[in-house]
Amino acid sequence: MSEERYDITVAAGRRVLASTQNLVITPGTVTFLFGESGIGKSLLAKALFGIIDDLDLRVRVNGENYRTYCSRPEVVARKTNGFFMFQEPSSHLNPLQSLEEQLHEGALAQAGDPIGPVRELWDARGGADLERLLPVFPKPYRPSGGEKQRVLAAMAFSKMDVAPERTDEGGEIFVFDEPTGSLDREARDRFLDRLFERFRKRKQTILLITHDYGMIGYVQAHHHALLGQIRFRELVLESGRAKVRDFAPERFMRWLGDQRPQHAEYPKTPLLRVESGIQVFGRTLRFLEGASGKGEVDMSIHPGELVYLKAGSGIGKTTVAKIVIGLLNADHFRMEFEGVRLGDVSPRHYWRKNLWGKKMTMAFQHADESLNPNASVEDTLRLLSLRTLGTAEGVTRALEKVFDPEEVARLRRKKIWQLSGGQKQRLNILRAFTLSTPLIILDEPLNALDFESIDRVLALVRDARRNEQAILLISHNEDIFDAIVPPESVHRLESIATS
Amino acid sequence: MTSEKKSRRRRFRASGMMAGSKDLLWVLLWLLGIIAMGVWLAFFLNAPARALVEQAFANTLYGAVCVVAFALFMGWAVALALHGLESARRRAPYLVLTFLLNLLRSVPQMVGMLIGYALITGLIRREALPSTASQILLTSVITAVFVFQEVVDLIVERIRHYEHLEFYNALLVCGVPPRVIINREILLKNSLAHLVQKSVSLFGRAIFLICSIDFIISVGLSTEVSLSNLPVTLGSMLAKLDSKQDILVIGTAFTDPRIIGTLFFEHLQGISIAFLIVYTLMCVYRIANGLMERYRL
Repeated sequence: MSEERYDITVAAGRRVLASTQNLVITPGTVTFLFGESGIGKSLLAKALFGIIDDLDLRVRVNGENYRTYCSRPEVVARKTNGFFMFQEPSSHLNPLQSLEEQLHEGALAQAGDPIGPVRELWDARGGADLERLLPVFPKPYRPSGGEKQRVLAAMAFSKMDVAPERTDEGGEIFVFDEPTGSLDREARDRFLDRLFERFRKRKQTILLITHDYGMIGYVQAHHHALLGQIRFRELVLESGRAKVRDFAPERFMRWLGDQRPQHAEYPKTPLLRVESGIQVFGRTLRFLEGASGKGEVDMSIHPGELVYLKAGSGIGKTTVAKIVIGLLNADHFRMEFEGVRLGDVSPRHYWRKNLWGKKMTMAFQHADESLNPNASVEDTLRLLSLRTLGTAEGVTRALEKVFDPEEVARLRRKKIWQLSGGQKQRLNILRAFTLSTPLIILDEPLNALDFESIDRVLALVRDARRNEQAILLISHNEDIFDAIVPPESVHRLESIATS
Repeated sequence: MTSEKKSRRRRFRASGMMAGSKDLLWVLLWLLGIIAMGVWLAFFLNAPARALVEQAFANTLYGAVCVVAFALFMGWAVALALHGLESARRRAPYLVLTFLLNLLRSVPQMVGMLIGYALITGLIRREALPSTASQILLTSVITAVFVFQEVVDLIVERIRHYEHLEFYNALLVCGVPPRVIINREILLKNSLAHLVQKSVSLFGRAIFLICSIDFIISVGLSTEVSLSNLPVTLGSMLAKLDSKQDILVIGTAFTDPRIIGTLFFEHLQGISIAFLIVYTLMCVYRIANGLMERYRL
């Protein structure tokens, strides 16, 4: 198999948005491309696929003008026969067509049963949900992120099924940009199984961009026979320039194997106890014991404990977090924090005066939206008005917990909008930990992070637990957290329509 | 780098600068226009008339700047009050304040200002406003009362925009007080361009309103108080008989082109006043649009 090497630059005026000299794609293989968010993985993939709107951008591929590149027969064939599954499903789906209509659109209609691939991605229990989902429009019904991602993946699968055989002019390429970002592990594994099933039959070229290093473990365990046709690569920034390098899967597997659940003796009285049966948005949210969800329990978190709240996308994990932290009013809700009973009738100013930033804080899921884009990195921390951050050394010490020392010197005066997605996420998480509150809520803390950054964030978690800080965790990175969180600290969230 | 590449890069930068900084270009053009006219007047307009034009221009600019300052302050205070009441779920005072704002909005600006001028007239008659500065200040406050709602709308819209993002909540749960989030993080760091653009547009509106009202009341508001008691502005200067005659000559020049030359030497008072108003308003309009383009507001 001959490798195709791409030298791609995407720039807006004088600012280079993404650039790499060695993006290698081997036809007939699956390439996993890891790397932290915001360093140009999606942009490079779009440029490669030939779908960048170059009206305001300067794009060059292998030294060629972009229009010339896009008019090459192999690029035209790639677009005609391949598929690009975008990271943000909302931007991919047409709000004026029902999901079912979109599954039958254009070349997808040639697939005998375009609904079939969607069914493959839903479990047996979700059949009724799927029937309810297909006739709706993406807006205003607003399917959950996970539902939209599965519909898009099904479209890609249909296209894979109907794509013609490879010709001399080159073949198709199927790009999956963060295809499982909103899926729980079960749904993610189902997606991977279906993808590799097709790959076994057709040997099509697949580029899968992801932050989910946990996929490595699943592929090794369940698709080991295909490893010879799978490439694991990582896009990293080296001296400000993106470089693609091979990623050794054993490195991650070894690291994961070294992780151990931290069992501990906790005080009898929990720091926080949230009663099961929260009523909000016409649904009742119940906490079930353990990952498998054995029986209904209240969710208790003790000082120094890491509690992992699991559920599929759209069930209401973030909603629970926002209710606990007092940002969202529930119709019915009871909790006890440090012996004080709080609930749906408690005034919001109680949280503001007594809890926020003092007793509890939260790192939100989207670092992009959680940080002030026009503040500098240093200002972001100094805004917390902590004595430890009063001096330049204090800020440097704090930043060095998640950034390299040389990176700190470069970053501290930079505005947030100039940072990569991964750098923003690290800062977002660091801000929550810097406050040293007794309770920290982490919503998808490993989003957008590369392997090294994941390790750093987990070190923060370990330190916080040693300092008797309790952590409520919401994450789709089940492979990693299942290795760290003891089973007794895992809860599954269930949502039931309130009659 | 080859010289061709360098010159191409320079041309690219220059075109980018022109496209991205139209506001600065128009500020420069405005200043150049005013300076050029000042030089011309220094040569060809008699000293007493020139002093009057200068005084009128200075008073109008001073008044407009004060309007902007008062409108920004009032807009900021009311927007914060509205947001505070809304966050605290204090529905009754929120509705009362919204109603008062809407009531104010329903009064045409010109009518509102005329009522305000009647108030100023009353104060002048009682000799409560002795200095020109105090008269201009009060006039500005009245003008600001009828334009500040735009600032309220802008600030409320900016706060709401950021409340819908996680950014506002993320700072709240870090213990940052709402007043710091709004004033420093939202308004200062993320809305400065919006506020500057609004200020420029209010500045233009204030000049237009001041000139229009002064022109309208040129007939006088009472037997004791007339334009001669109020500070001289571009509007009141335009209403003077000399200026009116100068303006009329422009019309005559259309039918008798031989007198065009005399416009710039013998009818300078009216022509320069008209030029100052129209040219300033045009430049302010262009500056405001340039700011919108530059910052993609």
